[in-house]
Amino acid sequence: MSYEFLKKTGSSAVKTLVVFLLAVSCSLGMHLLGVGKESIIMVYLLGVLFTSVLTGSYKWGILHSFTSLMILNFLFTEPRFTFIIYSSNDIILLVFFLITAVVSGTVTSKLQKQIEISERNEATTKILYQTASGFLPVSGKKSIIHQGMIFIKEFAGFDSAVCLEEDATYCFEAPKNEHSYLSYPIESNQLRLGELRIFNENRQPDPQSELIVQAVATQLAIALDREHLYMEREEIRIAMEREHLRSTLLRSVAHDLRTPLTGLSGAANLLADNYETLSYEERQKLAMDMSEEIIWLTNLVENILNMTRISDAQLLLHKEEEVIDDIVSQALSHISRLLKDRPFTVHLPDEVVMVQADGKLLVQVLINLLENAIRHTDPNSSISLEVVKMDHTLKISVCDTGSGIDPNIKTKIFEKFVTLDRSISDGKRGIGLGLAICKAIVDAHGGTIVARDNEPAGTCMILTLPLEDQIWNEK
Amino acid sequence: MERKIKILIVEDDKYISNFIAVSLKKQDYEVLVADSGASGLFYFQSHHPDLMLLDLGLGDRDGLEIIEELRAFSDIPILVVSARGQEKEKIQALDLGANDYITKPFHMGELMARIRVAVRELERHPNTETDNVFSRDYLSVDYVKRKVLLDEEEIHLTPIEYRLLLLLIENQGKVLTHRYIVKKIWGYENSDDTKSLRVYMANLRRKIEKDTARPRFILTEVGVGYRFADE
Repeated sequence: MSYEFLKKTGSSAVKTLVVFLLAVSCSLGMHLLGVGKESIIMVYLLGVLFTSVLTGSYKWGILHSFTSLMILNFLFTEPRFTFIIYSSNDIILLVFFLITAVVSGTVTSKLQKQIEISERNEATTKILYQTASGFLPVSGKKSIIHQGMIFIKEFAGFDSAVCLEEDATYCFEAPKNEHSYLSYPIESNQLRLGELRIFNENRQPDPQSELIVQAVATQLAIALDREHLYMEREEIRIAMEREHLRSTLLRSVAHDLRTPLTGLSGAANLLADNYETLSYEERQKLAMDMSEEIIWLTNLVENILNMTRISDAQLLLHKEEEVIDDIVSQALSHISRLLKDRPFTVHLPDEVVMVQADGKLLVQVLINLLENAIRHTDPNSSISLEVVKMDHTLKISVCDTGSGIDPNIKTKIFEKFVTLDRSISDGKRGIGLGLAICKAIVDAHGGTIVARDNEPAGTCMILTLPLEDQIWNEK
Repeated sequence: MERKIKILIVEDDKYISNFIAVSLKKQDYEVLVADSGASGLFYFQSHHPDLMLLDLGLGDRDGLEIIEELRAFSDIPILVVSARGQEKEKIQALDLGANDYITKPFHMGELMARIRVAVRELERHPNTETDNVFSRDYLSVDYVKRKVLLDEEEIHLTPIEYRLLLLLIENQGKVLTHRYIVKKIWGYENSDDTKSLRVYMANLRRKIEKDTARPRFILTEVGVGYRFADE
């Protein structure tokens, strides 16, 4: 502080001295040219004004006035080169000079100060505006805080940290071994969000920077609050969507359970009540039907479970290295009762192919695809399952030679509840969850699934899974 | 007339225990039904059953706990009945010493097959060392000459594949968890790395199966382990 003061005083003194010397030499020159002292006084007056403007302080102006008075007296009043004045005219002249010099110097320096202050105010206003608008395009807690710290560094020149209280007082931008800091609260609606720490290195921030820091703290609070509200709204939206999905699921599940349950209870009642009168073949047929319905119900339950897993937490995968043969054979063993005597072919790659996958879910995908193929084609059309290893992907296709996919639903077969359309859902049951689940599972594995037309007739469901680059084969 | 095999069913759902009991009686087994863990243990002590069907989700006690308790003093074959999608529990049950598991919902035929395996195991136990040759369908293994034949034609297996095959045959009908196999073949105690096991198994299967998509001998239990077909 004292150093600053000395420096400022020194520079003002030099400025004053330079102006003074200029005035003196100028006046001497004019005197030689025979200009009268009434005019020379004007030069000194000008000098006083210059000093006031340059130093920005009226004290130097006054000092300059008195010095000028002395030198005028010394150089230009009779008797010259003494501090004695004979003429009362000269006294009056000098007194008026002094008054004019002091008054004009003081007024000028005051004006000067006013200008300076208003300039600084304008700059501050600009900065404040910049900080306020600077937060607008920023979103995300981290970037908001980052932006705040940039502003403080740029406009106030301090390193800073922001500590939020919500996550157990976590500080962004860890303090760099600084023990002294000033802290400003970040508050919104009387709620303390955290604090802004300014590492001031033991120097008191001037009012200007303090104002900026406080403004940044306020803006931070507003921006963080806005972010908070946005997150809350987003959460509500997601929750609503989930709720909607859940109720649709429930509705369709209830509907889809009712149909097979009716069939089951009918067949079971028939068996229980009329066991004796039914022929052996009839009884066997009823029992077979029931068993088939139950496979369907079982699979439905499995799909619903997977569905809730999917919508709950974006599918929790338990990935392991699985050999694709294992997946295929497991799926086939599930589906074999539905396949019965249908023409069915399987093709597997000759080498051992490993995929990073959640085995159980992948099995479910294959079961769903095969079950669709069986359910939606007539009993003597053939079905094939083919696994081909490509360069970086594994391609699995399930093809049938049925009548193909109804063009009306072709574009949206992977959406949820597609077959829910009343006109078709009773005849060909299925809540259309199967393919939606397939897609969700395949997506979660980073793969793709598409439906193509099979040549010459029928449908191919083709799914690809990314492969790791190694093939494991024992020599 | 030989003594009937006595089977204890521990299951708290009366519909399930009823239909299991009926079908078992039809197959000429003697059946005991307990509807809780406590009564199950009581029946075990008082009736000395030959085999136990244990539901893991009992009302009063954790099925896994019961297995642990029983294994402290008994070798009775335990067949675990568990709900779908609980691979972890199945593996735990098998590692604790359960002999096999079956997943709800199951087919009666499947359950009967598992029970037959366990019963056969009971009868086979005293004289396991007698056979020098294992043969089933087109596969035969000559333990003495260390030869594996497919339709009378010798195939080459690596030493590890051969040991895997022997381990599977020795425990035919039983599910062996990945961890168990790794421990038996490679000797690691706590390895979660089952990748190489899967590769060996896939290769072995390529050598001895005619249709790898629908295997005749080595059946995969995805997420749990492998089983060598019993029949």
